[in-house]
Amino acid sequence: MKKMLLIGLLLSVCVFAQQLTIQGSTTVLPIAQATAEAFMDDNPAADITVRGGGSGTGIAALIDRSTDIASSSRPMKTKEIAKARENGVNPVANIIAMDGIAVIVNKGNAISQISAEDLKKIYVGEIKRWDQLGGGGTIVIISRDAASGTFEAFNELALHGAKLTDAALMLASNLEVARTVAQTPGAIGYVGLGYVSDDIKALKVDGILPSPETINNGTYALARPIFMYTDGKPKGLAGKYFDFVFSKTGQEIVEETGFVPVK
Amino acid sequence: MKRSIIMVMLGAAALSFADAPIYGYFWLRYTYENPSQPEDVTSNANYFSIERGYIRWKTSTSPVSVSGTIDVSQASKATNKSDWNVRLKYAQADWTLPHVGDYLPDAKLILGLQKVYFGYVDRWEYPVLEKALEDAEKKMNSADLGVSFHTLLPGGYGEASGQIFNGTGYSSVTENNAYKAACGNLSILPIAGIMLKGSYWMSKKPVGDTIITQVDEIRYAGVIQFRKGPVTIAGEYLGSTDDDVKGMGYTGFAEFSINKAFSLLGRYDYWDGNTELESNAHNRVIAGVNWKVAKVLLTQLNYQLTQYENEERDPSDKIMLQFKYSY
Repeated sequence: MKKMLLIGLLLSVCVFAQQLTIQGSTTVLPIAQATAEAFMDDNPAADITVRGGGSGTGIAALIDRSTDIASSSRPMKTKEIAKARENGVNPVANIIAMDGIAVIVNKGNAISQISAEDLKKIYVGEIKRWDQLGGGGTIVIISRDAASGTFEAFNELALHGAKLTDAALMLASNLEVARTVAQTPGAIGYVGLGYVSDDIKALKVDGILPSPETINNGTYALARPIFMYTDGKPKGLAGKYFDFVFSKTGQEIVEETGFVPVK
Repeated sequence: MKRSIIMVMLGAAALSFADAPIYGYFWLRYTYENPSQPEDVTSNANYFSIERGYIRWKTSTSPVSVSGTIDVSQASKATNKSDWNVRLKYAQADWTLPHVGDYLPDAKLILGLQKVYFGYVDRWEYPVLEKALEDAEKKMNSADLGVSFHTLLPGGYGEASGQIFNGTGYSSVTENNAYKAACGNLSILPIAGIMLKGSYWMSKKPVGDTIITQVDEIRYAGVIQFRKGPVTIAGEYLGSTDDDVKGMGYTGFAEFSINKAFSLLGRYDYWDGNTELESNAHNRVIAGVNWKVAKVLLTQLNYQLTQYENEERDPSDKIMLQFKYSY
């Protein structure tokens, strides 16, 4: 009898467990993980797997249908949209939050603000020392790796497509960038707003500090939407998950993880 | 202009080759040809071969990315020797055009030895082992030497290209005629999963060993492809003109993915190389199973039967098992 019950229980789990995979941006990872956990708490039959890998990896997974949701800190490129459409995937952008790319320096750095023009000059290798900006010492340039959506957003918003200096140290995640900047005097880096902590200093860019207010009112220049792409309008379990993300509780989680709610 | 193009290509290659990751594939194939078939194949009807091996590299520097592919393969079984071919398949610089990209996404000039955007040949990734129809019937080469303009359509609704080539494919170092080949291609994705494509190629080719007499060489193709979920269905119509000889054919291809590892495949080709002649056509039936053992290993099993309209010619069939491994 016990055996029968156990088999019945296993069968019911197999039959009723609903699975969803979210893959992509490391920037979006904190939102994806926190919302998925809270959603599963409310929906025990749901089984959501969250993976990182970068925006490009998530989008590639959506295109080859190995993930249900691609999280991305940049919009899909036309090339990716065309590839998705040819593969029978109709990518739909769901903007779940807004984010600011915070420019960060080591806490020991005397600089507290920077102009967008000087920021670009640092990252293309024209300004190499803090002395040129009123500080001191050599600038250690930290960047996200080229596969990251944060890199592409920074490249577009701050560098306007100019070539990043070869001297930049390319790191694989926001967390690594924040850690390296915290441990390296003279370092400058950039991370999603959610990764700004007391261990590092966020700079004002053109006199504006990144915050939910300055991102929402459009005064902070390095702001961007955060996406979760689906194949068509989200339905079934994905639809329920998005209902949760856009709910009051979901958007509170967005805020708690350091991003700016959209609802 | 010529000099600046060459400078861009060489400069980009020199700056970035050292950092270029190398990757590629090899295809190990076992072929069993039916021994009851004509004498010329029975002498070597059961063999392993490395039909193809790609060694690739790519560097991405804005606004030019440089890439190449070396094709290493065992010489044709017909030679019955342990020869190997090493040749360049692709060697190209993709130069993303400034400003044009504001209107035409990803608009670029492609310089060098590159893919020919024509019919199904530029989409064909060998889900079954036979080449695309135009390649299998030796009516088109998959790569050629020249200059192209390629762009995506706004919104990702397709792509368009115009290409100028020597017209002799990637195996030949120089052209053999006084004219360049021109190729135009347009593909449209009106809704997700549906692709419509039209391509046109025109060139001239010499008669015999001299280039004094040149005749028209025209190719045109129309493709329709449907892909949704586990199903892919595609069809292509191909036409050719070589002087006053006209050829036509078509191909139908279907794939059904049972799961992420296994898929079932089928293809039917019909080709008549000279529509004026009776009993000149042949058809080809292919059935296959693909098994993705791991991310780096694809196993493909194909049965291929070729039948001829000419009743004096026996049908030929073969079974092929191929392992495609990537690195």
